[in-house]
Amino acid sequence: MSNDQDRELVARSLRGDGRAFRDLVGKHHATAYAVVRAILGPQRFDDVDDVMQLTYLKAYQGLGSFRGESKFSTWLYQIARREALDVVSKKRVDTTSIDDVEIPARADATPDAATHERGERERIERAMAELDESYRTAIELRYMAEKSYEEIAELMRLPVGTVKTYVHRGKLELKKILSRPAWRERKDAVS
Amino acid sequence: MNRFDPMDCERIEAKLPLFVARELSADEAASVSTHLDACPQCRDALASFVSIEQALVARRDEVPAIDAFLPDMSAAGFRARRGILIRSFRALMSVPGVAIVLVMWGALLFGRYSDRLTGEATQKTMLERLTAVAKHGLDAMVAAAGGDAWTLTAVYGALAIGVIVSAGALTVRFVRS
Repeated sequence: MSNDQDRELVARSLRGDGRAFRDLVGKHHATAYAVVRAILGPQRFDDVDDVMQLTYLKAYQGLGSFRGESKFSTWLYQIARREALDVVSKKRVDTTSIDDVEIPARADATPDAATHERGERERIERAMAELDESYRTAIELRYMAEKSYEEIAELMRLPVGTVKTYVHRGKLELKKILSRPAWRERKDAVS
Repeated sequence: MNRFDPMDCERIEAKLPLFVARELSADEAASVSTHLDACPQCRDALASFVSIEQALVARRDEVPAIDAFLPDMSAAGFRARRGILIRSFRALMSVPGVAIVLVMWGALLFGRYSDRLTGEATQKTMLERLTAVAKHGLDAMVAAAGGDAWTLTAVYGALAIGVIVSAGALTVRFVRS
């Protein structure tokens, strides 16, 4: 059903319906955002917006070449991944410290809760930066984009079992990283 | 003092992310629960995994609204796929398209005026006319080539390759337009 809807939205977008294009990419926005965040990592957080804009621009300009042989989500995922990897390869020498990354708290959090939550999220964000890119991508797609293992496997072109392993090992790694003495001190400072 | 075998705890800890995400079977979850009830060390590990799970689940709220990322569609140079008539016309107006049309037109003219060329009586069908023209043309070319069959083969080969390449280029142009 979702695929049929995508095909219909692609056809309408190709006829110049801007609203249809917005609805089309809107359906897969979380997926594109998750993969861009995963590839850029927290060190290149400032580039996320630029890469997202480029992703949608390229998708918009190249929609005429989308043949429907793969799902639209896979096609968009590939564009987002390519654009993010392009930034990573161009900015390999960028040494923005992970400690300089500021993560905003959710708008609905109380001041105390906001401080605590921001601290916890920063800890996770920094720990995520140490994960292998494949683990990070699988985890971001699973949690940020709320994808099923089967959907992630299709996007990443991997067997479902491998994706499950990536997510599982990623979490074990996160626990290991967060259990290091230096990370524990950070937690104490936050709470 | 922990009364469990460290190997047991290691095995249980490896299952905790799945336990927290409710991805274990009922039997496995029950076995992990039993262990957790009696093992404070694994309960500490469980607390860490719960905290990680909560932080990961909270990440879904970090996806910003899409509107800030969308291009200005009027300025983005949208390349919509054109209708089949326009695509066909554009393909025909290309160099390979014009070449193929000229070749076909020439073949028809040859067929129409084949009597004059061959000096033979009028044939009944277009195929017979074209066959006669081809035969006449072949004879003429053999004569022009001084009876050299290799030169003749090269000329016909080049013509055939030209037609095939033109047809391929025309197809590509049509598909891409």
